[in-house]
Amino acid sequence: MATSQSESSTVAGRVMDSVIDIAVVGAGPAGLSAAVAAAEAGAIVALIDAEAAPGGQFWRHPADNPGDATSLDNTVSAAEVAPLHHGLRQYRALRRKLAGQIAAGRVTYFARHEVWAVERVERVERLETERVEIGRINLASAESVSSGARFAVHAMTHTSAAQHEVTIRARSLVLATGAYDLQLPFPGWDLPGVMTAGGVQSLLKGHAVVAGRRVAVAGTGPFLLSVAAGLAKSGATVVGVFDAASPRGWLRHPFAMVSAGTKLFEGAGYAAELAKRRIGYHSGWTVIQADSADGGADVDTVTVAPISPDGSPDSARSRTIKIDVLAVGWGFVPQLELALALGCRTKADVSGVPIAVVDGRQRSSEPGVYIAGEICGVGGAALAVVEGELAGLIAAAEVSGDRAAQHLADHMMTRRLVHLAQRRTSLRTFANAMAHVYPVPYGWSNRLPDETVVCRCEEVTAGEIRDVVRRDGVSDARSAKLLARPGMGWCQGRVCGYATECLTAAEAGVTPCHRATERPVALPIRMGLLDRDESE
Amino acid sequence: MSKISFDGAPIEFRPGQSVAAALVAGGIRSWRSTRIAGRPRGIFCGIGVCFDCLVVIDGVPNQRACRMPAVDGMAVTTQEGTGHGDLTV
Repeated sequence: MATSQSESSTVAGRVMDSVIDIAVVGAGPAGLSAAVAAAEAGAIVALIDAEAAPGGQFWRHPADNPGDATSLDNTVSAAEVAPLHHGLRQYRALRRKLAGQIAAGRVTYFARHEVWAVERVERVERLETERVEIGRINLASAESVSSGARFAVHAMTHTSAAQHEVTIRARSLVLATGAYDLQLPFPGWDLPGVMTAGGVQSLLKGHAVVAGRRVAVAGTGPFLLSVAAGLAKSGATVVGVFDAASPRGWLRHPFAMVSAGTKLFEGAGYAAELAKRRIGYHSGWTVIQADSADGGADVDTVTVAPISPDGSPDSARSRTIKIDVLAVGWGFVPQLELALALGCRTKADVSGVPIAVVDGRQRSSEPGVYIAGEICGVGGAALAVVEGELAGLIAAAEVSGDRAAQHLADHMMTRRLVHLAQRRTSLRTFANAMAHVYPVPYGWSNRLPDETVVCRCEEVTAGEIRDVVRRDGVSDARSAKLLARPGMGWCQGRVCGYATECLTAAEAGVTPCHRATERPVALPIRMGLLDRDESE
Repeated sequence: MSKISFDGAPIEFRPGQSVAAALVAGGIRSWRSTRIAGRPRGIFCGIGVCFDCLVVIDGVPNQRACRMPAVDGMAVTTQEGTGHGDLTV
């Protein structure tokens, strides 16, 4: 793919000299769309992303210019992974626009920069008083917005030898930090060769590496079909897709099906791909355990079984299949750390997982903080692009009074916002229905054997978590964490948090309450980074 | 052909791949043992979230293999426990 040289170059340094209008965190479908929309509306934007190329997890792409150029012919290329992607026309259009905005000096793109903290550096009055109505759009008036920096975004990039930090000061923030796979523990899930479905996909799309030769795909949701189709196209033998849910669940959501349009078409495409390659799609089947033959070091078999009407797996009809990789995913968990650090309100989505609360214009509960994409409810790339554009347009309009007036006076702009809002509603309806159709299996945590590892970092078992419930009378994940250490390790409970809450609540006989976990520092950093002298 | 080494053995990779991708493509599945039970671990989430793929790179432990781009000549070694065994007294 043709991209400008400037787009792939990154800035390294301590603190950016100038205060920019909008810092966009995350360059997936939502962040990419937000950065382009805001820059086109005249704002000065910083786009900060952990990956080597824009696209996020859905449009994951290899780097344009990997540093090691000793054998360029062999470099993993965007063209090579193109057949694995959906919606590439939209991605390429956004990339072209981004390159144009970078060339024009309106966007600074920080690739491979992970944001480890955001802070409000100046308190502002709540934007409640003056609001102006233009068309159907309600905007905070320009007077109430400060012209100085309101936020500091701390990001770092690293080589094997050193970490480098950059601090970006901005008037507004768009958070588009996305989501990662929801995992449910099962015996053997910590064996090498058992991977998240998203991880298998990332190796394929971002690195052109097929994770295994014989792969089983399990969990729930249409994402499994996408992973299985990608693996099969790339030469792996997919021994089967085992989805605990039944697609018949869609029949209870006819309106959502009608509004879904292309998304169902995309799903049908994957299904056809599987049928063509004679890959079995087993709905109502679940993974029971993964095993290593002869006490070996990695996974060799997976055991799957159909789910009985009472929700438990029918082990009498179980099958054990030889594999070298098992890809598992049960949906997605939004990455809320930065939103929580800023005090943004959250609520539970239909599956009980915390998501950020936004209004019809992607505004969070905190002034100057806009949120788009999976963190305000998992809904897929098409919805994320719409929300990103809304967030970018509104943030750009609100950050500068003059420009806001200019753009909102424009009738086309108002129509665009109304169109985006309508599209958002229809895609959100579909996303909510999807969460109902693909739930995690009922009562899964009751069936988890005591000796199964739940917290992979601290190596805490289900039995140890149940023990603290019985012995110490705790009934929530936070207390269980303090007493038995699940979630105290490197990943800070990102992987086991959901499972720990389910297990604790089930053992205590209460309803699980998946609270959003505050993590002031969003990822592990070296102490030296905190110790540095601000005046340097 | 670009190469990293894993515990001394050469592993070819393609520019643009991460250390984890290079190891998986080279048939290596596990490159860490856990601190408590000494269980083998390799790549799990693949996107920098889970910290299961920690490995020693050029002598520095606790690096996420999934996030680190492979660079010609890089020396990757298995991480035992905390990766700070050299500090044990």
